[in-house]
Amino acid sequence: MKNSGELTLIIERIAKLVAWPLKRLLKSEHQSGTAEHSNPGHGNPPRANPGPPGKNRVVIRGVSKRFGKTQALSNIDLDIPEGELCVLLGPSGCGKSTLLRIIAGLEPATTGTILINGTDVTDESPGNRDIAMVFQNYAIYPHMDVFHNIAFPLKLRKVPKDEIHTRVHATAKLLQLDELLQRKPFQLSGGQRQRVAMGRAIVRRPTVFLFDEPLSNLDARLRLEMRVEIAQLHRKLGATMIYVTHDQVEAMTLADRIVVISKGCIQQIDTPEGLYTNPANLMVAGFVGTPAMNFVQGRISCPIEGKKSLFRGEGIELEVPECGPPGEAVAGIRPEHVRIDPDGAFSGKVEFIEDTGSDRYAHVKLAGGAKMVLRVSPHVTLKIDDTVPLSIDEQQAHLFVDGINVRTREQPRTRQEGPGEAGS
Amino acid sequence: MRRSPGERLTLVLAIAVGMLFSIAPVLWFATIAIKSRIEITAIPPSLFPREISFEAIQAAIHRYGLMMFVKNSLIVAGSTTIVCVFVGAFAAYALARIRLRFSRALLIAILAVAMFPQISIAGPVWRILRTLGWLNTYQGLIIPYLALTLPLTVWILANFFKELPGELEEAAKVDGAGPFQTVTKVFIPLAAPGIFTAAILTFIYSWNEFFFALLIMTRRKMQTLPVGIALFPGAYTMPWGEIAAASTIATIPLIVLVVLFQRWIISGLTAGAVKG
Repeated sequence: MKNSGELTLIIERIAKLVAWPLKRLLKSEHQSGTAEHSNPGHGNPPRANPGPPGKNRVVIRGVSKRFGKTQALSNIDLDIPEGELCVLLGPSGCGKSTLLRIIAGLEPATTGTILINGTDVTDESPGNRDIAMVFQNYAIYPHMDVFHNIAFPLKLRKVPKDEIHTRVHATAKLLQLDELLQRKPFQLSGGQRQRVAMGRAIVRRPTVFLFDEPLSNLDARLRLEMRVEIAQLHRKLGATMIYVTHDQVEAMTLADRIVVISKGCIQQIDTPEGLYTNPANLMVAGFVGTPAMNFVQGRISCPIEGKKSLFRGEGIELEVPECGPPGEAVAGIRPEHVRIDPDGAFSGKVEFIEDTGSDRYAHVKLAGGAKMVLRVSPHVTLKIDDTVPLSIDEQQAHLFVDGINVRTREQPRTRQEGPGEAGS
Repeated sequence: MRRSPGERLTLVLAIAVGMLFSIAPVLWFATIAIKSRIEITAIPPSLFPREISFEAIQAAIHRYGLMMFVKNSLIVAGSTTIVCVFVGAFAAYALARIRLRFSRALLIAILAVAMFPQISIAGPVWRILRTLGWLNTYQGLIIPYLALTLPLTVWILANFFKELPGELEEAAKVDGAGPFQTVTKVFIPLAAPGIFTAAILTFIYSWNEFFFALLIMTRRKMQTLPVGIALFPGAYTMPWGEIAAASTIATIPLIVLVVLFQRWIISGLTAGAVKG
């Protein structure tokens, strides 16, 4: 399967990632005496504007947006601390790009305020917000060469020529564009164009970087490479970044924190790990993770005195932690939390097997009718139409009542707004 | 696409006939311009000059002050073109890119204005210019020309600007460009084919325009080429050679412009017709 293939590539990339700073270090030692050495003030990689430490760089309060009769965003509150790479994740049309555009000033908010660096910028033009943005279609100027594309924002700010020169060269070096400065955009590949777009953003040293699905126009391989580059860039610059994507793998690998948005509302704000292990509602649970979480419809039965309440549905039974109110519910189980177990309490018939090399996923149909995907070891021999005994890691299973995760409701980790919906 | 020999022959013939039809008068004038005075009026007329003579050209320049008309035409057509493209670019940007409630209606109104027959506005224009004391001045001709050429320029450029990706404009905004810088630094360079097309069409129009030039420029010293040449004949003379020479010289700048920028013009005239 595609995503597991990506996983192996990610591991490769991580290995490269670890090796990369070392290489750079060696390289810069070799090159001592060049620009970096002779011009210590300018040659260093540009850093984001230093500001009061530990402050929230971007504060969003009560932001709503209407397009005619459509409510694109309702009452969004969000704080993004300094240096964080915050990913806005959601299905297409959920309002995440609109939120980014409102932060950028390209779209006015219907209500609410935006503070950047402590200043209310709600009515400021994009150019006065101290932000830089990287667009999905690169949006580099076709009539300018790479140098002038990167230099453009500095020229508009009337930065002295020498400084423009040094800053553009330092940025180009950082992005490995130094050989391409004289090229026109049409002579560049997609990845190089996106790097130019990033260069134009970096060279300004803005308070906040905004990325609007910057990788979705690139092919799969390049997307992986650029993802790693963005992660490295974030670490090197220590800058605050807001990154919009609908690709949950991209979000999970890049983010310090992910904001899941659906139907114009924030569903959950958490670390990638937190989202994965404790999804707040059905929407988040279904959206995050590949393959997706298995959902089983069922009911929580009334507790008989002295016994725990039980979830029963479509062929599985789960003990419900402490607090099971009786009624309709949905159980959510990740593929890795179902396993083939000779002592398993229930069984399923294998309908399909997906092999990705590193992982193997079996699609089974339970006796009760529910369909599940489970991750099995590549060493297990399994055939289509086999009936296998299964067990569920109940500690890791989730129960959703009215779309809300019972477990996270007990210990609210984050704010939730609006009920989630499954499978969107 | 491969064509059969028959088809190709027909095509070549059609092109040849078309070219002959449009080029013959020009060639006829060009040859007259370099014929001697006797040969011009010879009967039967000769198709090609038997000997080349620059008599007519020299007479047109020295006796009839051709260069004065060329200068006037250059000033009027050049200024009209520059102002027209500059003003037109900003108008087109506003109409194409800024969310205005009536931008569509405005564009149609502009086009409607361009459709007015010249004769219907000649009287009012003349009266206005007389009141301003602008008869026989360059601005007296440039401003009516602007009024007549701006609509087409705005249309051409608005169509160009509409095709440019919106993200470029947003990128410029984020980079800190105001509307003025967005137009001058991003839109105009990107719409270069459209700018060239509009500029050349405006230049050709103002270079060739006769009616307003005749109406407004009554003093010989201020007249442009078409009027100047038209007034070459005296009460008893018909200086064919000089007229032909002047007409040939008047055509040269246009040919040079079109040849230089033809690549741009072609892409300019067809852009917007098909979504790229």
